[in-house]
Amino acid sequence: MTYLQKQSPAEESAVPAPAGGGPALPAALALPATLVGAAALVAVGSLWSLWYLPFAVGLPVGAVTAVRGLRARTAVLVAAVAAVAGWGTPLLWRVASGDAVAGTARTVAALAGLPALASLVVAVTLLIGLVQALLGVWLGRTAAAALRPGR
Amino acid sequence: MPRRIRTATHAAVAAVVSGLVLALLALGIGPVPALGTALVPGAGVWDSAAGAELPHTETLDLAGLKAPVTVAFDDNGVPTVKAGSDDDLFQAQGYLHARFRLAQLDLERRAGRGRLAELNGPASLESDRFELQMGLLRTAEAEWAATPPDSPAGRALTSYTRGVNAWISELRHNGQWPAIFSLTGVHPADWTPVDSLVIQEVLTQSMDFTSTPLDYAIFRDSLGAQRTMDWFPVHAANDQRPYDPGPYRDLGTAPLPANVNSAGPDVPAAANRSQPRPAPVAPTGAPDPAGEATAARTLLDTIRALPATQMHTFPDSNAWVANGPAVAGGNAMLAGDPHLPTTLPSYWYQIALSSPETNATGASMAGMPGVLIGRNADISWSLTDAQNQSTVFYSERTSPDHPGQYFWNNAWHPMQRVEYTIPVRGGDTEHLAVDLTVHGPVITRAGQTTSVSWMGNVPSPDLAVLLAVDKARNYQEFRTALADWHAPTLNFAYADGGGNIGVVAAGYFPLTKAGDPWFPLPGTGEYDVVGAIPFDATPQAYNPPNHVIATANQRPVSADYPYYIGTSFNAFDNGYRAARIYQFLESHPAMTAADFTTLQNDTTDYLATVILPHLKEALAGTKLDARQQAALDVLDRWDSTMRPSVAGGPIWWTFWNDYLETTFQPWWDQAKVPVEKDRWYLKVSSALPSLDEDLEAWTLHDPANPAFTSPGGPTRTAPDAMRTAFAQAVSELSQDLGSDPATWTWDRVHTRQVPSLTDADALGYGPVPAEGDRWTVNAADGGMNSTFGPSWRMVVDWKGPGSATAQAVYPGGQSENPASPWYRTFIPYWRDGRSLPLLMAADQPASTKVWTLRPGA
Repeated sequence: MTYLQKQSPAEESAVPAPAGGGPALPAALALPATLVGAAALVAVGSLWSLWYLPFAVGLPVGAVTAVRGLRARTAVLVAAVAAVAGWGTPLLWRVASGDAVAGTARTVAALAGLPALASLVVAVTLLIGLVQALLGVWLGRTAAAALRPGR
Repeated sequence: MPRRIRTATHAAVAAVVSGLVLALLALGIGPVPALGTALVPGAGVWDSAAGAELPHTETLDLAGLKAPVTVAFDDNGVPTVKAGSDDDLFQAQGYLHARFRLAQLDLERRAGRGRLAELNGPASLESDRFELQMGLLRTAEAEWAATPPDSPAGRALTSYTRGVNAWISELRHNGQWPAIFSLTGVHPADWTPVDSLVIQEVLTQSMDFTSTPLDYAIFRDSLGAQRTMDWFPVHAANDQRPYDPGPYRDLGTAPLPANVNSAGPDVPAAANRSQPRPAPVAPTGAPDPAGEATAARTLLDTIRALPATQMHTFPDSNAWVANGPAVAGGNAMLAGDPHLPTTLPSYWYQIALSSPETNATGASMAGMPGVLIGRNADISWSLTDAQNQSTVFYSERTSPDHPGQYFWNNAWHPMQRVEYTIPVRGGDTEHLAVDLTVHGPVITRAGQTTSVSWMGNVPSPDLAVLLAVDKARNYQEFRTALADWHAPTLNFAYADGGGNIGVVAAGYFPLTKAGDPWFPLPGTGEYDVVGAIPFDATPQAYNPPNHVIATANQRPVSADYPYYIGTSFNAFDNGYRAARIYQFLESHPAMTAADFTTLQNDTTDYLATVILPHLKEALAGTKLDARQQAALDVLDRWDSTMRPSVAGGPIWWTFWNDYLETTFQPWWDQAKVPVEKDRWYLKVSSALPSLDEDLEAWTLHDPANPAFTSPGGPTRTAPDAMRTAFAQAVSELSQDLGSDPATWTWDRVHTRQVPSLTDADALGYGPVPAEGDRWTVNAADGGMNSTFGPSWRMVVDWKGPGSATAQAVYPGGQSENPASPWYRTFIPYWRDGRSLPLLMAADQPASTKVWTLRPGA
């Protein structure tokens, strides 16, 4: 069982509810803005072979959400979507550019001794991004919790 | 547990798990590559997708060019290269090979350099050890050292290397490596001229290295010397058709040059010419059959584990030529189909080359400049393996009292030692020491210290010869060029626009001072290789009176040839393809190119045409059950062709193998032949040419041969054995294919496959039901799922001087990238027996895909 799974409803309910009215708008924008920014960072980083960026993005997302007392599921959602979108977008871009992505995926699967299914390698690719992001969130939240002054 | 400790523990666990996963993704573990770097979508393996794109018209800068070069691709990816000089021409060819075959180039050079384990991991260590022992790298280095930089070969290799490295350099910037490199994280180093020569050596080994002396040693140890030589004789028991019927000349012995892979004093002076003769009793070099057999078993374990492309396994290739009244129009025609392991990508990369000095089109070999098989404006040529014995094994005398030494010519001599390190992906680097004797490298110490003298280890200026052949204008220039070709020993078939035809066996046919070189020989000096057959005395034919010449790996000369060139088992073909080809050529006057194509795709099993009448005779008057009678009826209707949808082939094939087994297996069982040591050549099967020849000859001429009577069994004759084998074959096929012999078609039991060089099943072609067997002209060797056969089919029809039409095809495609449309382009043509025009550069139609390569930075 992980820290994320073990977090109690009481802890989640302790998260302060956003104030209503005017101040709610920036807060509502913060989540998608963070998500888009993180996804863009992961995507651009992948062009430079920075394969570990999903983890690097998950880490602060986990830490910040923990410090701010936001729910774990929020952190997971943001990091996971950022990772999958960040790694999926370059693949889609390649497909749109006419690159033989499916053929390359089948080749890689065959070379790895797996069934020569393009979807398999694409899924493994996205899974690697996703797992990194979740690990980042996990480490970020646990580290923040460990470093947080005692209440 | 206090909360703070608990949270700290959670954080520590998360940090450790994260660290481990990230390390795994960054570094990989064992055979698992670094998946983080490999699969990152903006780079890694995904960048190789760009390599699958077809070329488009553009201008590319290539450093080192002297003038612009144009490369025009046809719709199948065959390039026509036009350059202002040979230097530019071969640089462009290197660039093309690298663009479309870089992984193949790297795999092949790794195989020869003993560096496969660095890419593939521990599974390739055995191959690396073997090749470093054999000395392919040492020979290639010596060849390059002996190549003058300003010679045509030196300049071609330098230019070619520059072209390969131009693309490697581009890849280092754009990251578009072939997927295998991005996946493993092991990227190719810069190309060198030695790498091209290493690839030449790999092909030489695959054509020329013979392991059958090891099989002979095992047979002698198990069956006994007498039976071994009775059943695996020097001269085949059956009638064969040599292409050089004589008269022959005894011109003495030509000395061999110094060998980089041998140590100690110079090789002894030429002593005799070596018609095989009984070994003298040698006081210091008495054979040790048991030790030799142990060494042989150990070595065969290694050799049979090598990739198919590194070792000679089956007789290779057909080529025939005809002229005068044999061809329509009275000029000359040539057909060639070299048989090799069929792989994706293929050995061959088709290309048309044009410069003021060179004008040739045909099959180039990935890794080498020039055209290996093809035509120019005046002549055409193709190759078959000469199949002679080019390898002699020596059992060295050693002693614990003389560590590191061997006894030779009445004295102890130090072995020379060469040391290597072998990097291993996912494993520890291995260190290897190779000892050299005067005969060559020591390749095992199991049972007996055994060294090998192999003609491929003698530097051979093959590239210089090929470049001269590419430019030759007539038979004299062609033959003169071939005089310098040393290994592998090949039959070069020739036809020209002047209506001339010929075949020349070029290369070293080694001769020993004494002894039976088809066995391992004592290494004490009395049996050394002392030279080779002089070029003017090697098998050759030119404009014969019957107007046809066929070379299909049969013994090229008759029994009265004055030199020893090999045995029936080591390793000439049994002559069935040659017999069928001659049968066709001599019964078809005024042949056209279409006739040659028909013959290339011929599936007639010649041996079946010879044996089946005797089988039917043996079965006549015999009481057969209904199924056996139905099977016999099928054979009565069968035309002896191994076509996919025709019934009859499986009955014949199963019968013949059962006939071999019925006759020989009891002897093998009694002698306890360790068949598991060599899956190809120790087991009783139709893959042993000598046994096929014996059985054919006995069936036709000696049906009471004692071999038909099993040890301890009742007296038996050939008809008895045939009846037993036929009943057994029908029973086996009933179990496998059902009860109706009329439905026993060849495609139900026989397939072809073109595997990927990477061994990844999904990247190959097939298996698919297919025609042919190992004796049909359209050969399918390697078992019931054939992976060995025509690797290139070519027909050149000369109309007059400088005028010819030609066609060719190979089972593959121009690109090695499985995602490319050019990966398997030619396979449907090849499978259906069709070919495509093989055009000279000047005849190429306009292209929509043209690269202009211009001198650049």
